[in-house]
Amino acid sequence: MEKVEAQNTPSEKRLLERLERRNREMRILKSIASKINASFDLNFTLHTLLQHLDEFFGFKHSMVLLTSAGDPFLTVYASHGYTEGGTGAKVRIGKGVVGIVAQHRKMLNVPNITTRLTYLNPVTSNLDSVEHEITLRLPGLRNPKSQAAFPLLVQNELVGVLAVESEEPRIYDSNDEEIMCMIAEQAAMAIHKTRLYEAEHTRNKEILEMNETLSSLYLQQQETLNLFMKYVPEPVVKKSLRTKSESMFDGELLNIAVLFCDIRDFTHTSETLSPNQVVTLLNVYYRHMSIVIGRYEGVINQFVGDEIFVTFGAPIGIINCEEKAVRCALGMMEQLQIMNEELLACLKVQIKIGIGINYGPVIAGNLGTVDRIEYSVTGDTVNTGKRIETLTKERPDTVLVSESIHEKVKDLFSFTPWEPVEVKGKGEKVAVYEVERLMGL
Amino acid sequence: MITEDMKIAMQGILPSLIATCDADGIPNIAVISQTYYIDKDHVAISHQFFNKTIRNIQSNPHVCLMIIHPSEVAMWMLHATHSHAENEGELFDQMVMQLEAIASMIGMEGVFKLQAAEVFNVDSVEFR
Repeated sequence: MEKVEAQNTPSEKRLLERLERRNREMRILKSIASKINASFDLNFTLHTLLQHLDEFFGFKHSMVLLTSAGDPFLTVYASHGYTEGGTGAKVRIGKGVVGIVAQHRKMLNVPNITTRLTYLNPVTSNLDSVEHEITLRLPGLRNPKSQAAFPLLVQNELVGVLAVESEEPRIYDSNDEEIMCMIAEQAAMAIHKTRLYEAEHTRNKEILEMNETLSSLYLQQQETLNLFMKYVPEPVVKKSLRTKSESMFDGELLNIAVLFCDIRDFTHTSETLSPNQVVTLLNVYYRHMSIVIGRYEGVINQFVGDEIFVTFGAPIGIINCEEKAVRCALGMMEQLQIMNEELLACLKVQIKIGIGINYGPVIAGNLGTVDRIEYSVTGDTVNTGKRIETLTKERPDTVLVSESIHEKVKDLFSFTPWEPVEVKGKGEKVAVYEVERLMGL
Repeated sequence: MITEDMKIAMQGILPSLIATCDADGIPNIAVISQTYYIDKDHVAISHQFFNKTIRNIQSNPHVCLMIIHPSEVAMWMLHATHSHAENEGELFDQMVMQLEAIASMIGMEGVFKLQAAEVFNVDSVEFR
C-alpha cells in the first residue's frame, strides 16, 4: 500500500483524501440515520442526533427547534452543549438565523456574525450595545461568532430547524453544509415519524377512553330507557326516538279504538284495605291486565287510580283495531277470574270490572313542554269511550261497545243492544251494545 | 480559480476590501462584510445602498477584491469584472437570508433591503 501511495501525484493524493473523507462521512451518516430512526421516542431521537453531531463532526453546540401548527414560534425541543438546557425556549419565525431559515425553508450559514453586525449597524457605533442586543433568548451562546441552521422538511412541510453554532469563528465549509443537509433530511423524517407515532398513540388512547365513556353512557341510557318504558308505553318511546325533535310535538289525526277499564266499587273495596294492600291490589290488577292488553297490541296510555286507558292504533297504527279491542276486553274478563283467585289468596278480596270501547277519530301527539312531555290522545271519541265504560257501573263484569265498534265487528261477536242511553256531553242518545262473552271467545 | 482556502477567506471572518474606479480614474476602496462564492470563476457582493462602489462599477466594471484567510493570514487579490446584477433567484435569496438574519438580531428586520446581487467574473487571482 505504501508503495502505491508513494507513486501518487499530489493531486491524486488530494483526490484520495477527499474520497476517504467522503466515505467516512457516508458511514457516519448511515450510522446516525439508523440510530435516530430506531426509536419512536422524540426526546431520545433528538438527543441522539445532537450527540452524534458533536461526536463525529465536532458541532459542540446544537439544538433542534420544532414548529407547531398555527404557532408563529419555533420551540426548542432538544439542545446539546449548553450549560442551561433551554428546552421550551422560543424563536419567532423570521427572527435571527433560525427564524430566517424557518421562514425561507433554506439552509443558512452565517460564519461571521459579530463582524457583520458592525457593518449593518453604522448608526450604532457603540459595539457593546449591539452585542447586548444580539443576546438571543435561547439556550444559545451569549456571543455566537458563527451559526448555521438547516430546515427540517418533510415533503416541503417545515417540521423544525436544526441549528449549530460556535463561539469561535468556526467555518462550516460547503462539505459540512452538504453533510448537514443530508442529516437534516434524515432527522426531519425521524421527527415526523415519531410525531406521527405519538399522535397515533394519543389518538388510540383517546379512542379507547371515548369507547369506555360511550359504552358506560350506553348502559346508563339503556337503564334509563328501561325505567322510562315502565312509565311511558314502549311504542311511544320507540316512536319518539325515531322522530326528529322539531316534529316531536306535531299532532296527528288517527282513527283508533279506545278502551276504558275500571274496577267497580273500588272505593268501597279499598276502604277495607291498608294503603299497602291497596297498592298491592292495584299492582296485581295492572300486571294481569297488562299481559292481556299487550297480547292484543293495545297500548296502555294511562293508569289513573283503578282506571286503565288503552289505545289500539296509536301511536302505531294496527290493522283491525276494533276487533282487537273487543278481543282484548274479553281476554281481560277471562284474566279477571285468574286474578281474583290470586287476590283472594293474598288479600282476601275479589273485584269486578267494567269495560267500555269506542272507535273514531282522535288527536294524538306529544303534549307539554320540551322538559316534560306526555303522549296524549284526546277528542270526543275518548270522552265518549270513557262515558260508555261508566254505564257498566250498574252491570259489573260487562263489556260495552259503541255503535262505531258494533258496526265494524257485528259479524264476529254476538251483541245485545241496550236501550240508547243519554251520555253526558252528548245531545242525542247513544246506542250501546253489550258483548256476549261466550260467543266471542 | 477559487480554491477551498479562498472560500474560507471570503466568509468575512476578516472583512474583504474592494477597489473600484470612477469614470475619471479616481480610485475608491471600501470594506465589505462578505464576498459570496458562486463557483470557481464567479463571486458576488451585496448591493444594499447606492454607494460609491456601485456607482463606480457602473462606469468601470473592473474591480480588485482583496480577501484574507482568518487563521493563516494569507491574502489573495482577485481581479474581476462586473458581469450583471441579479434581483431574484437562488443567489439573491441566500444573500437576502443572510442580511435578514443578521438585521433581525438587532431588531432591524426590514430596514436593510437587498437591492441586488452584483455578480463578477473572476479574471485572475494573485496570491500575496
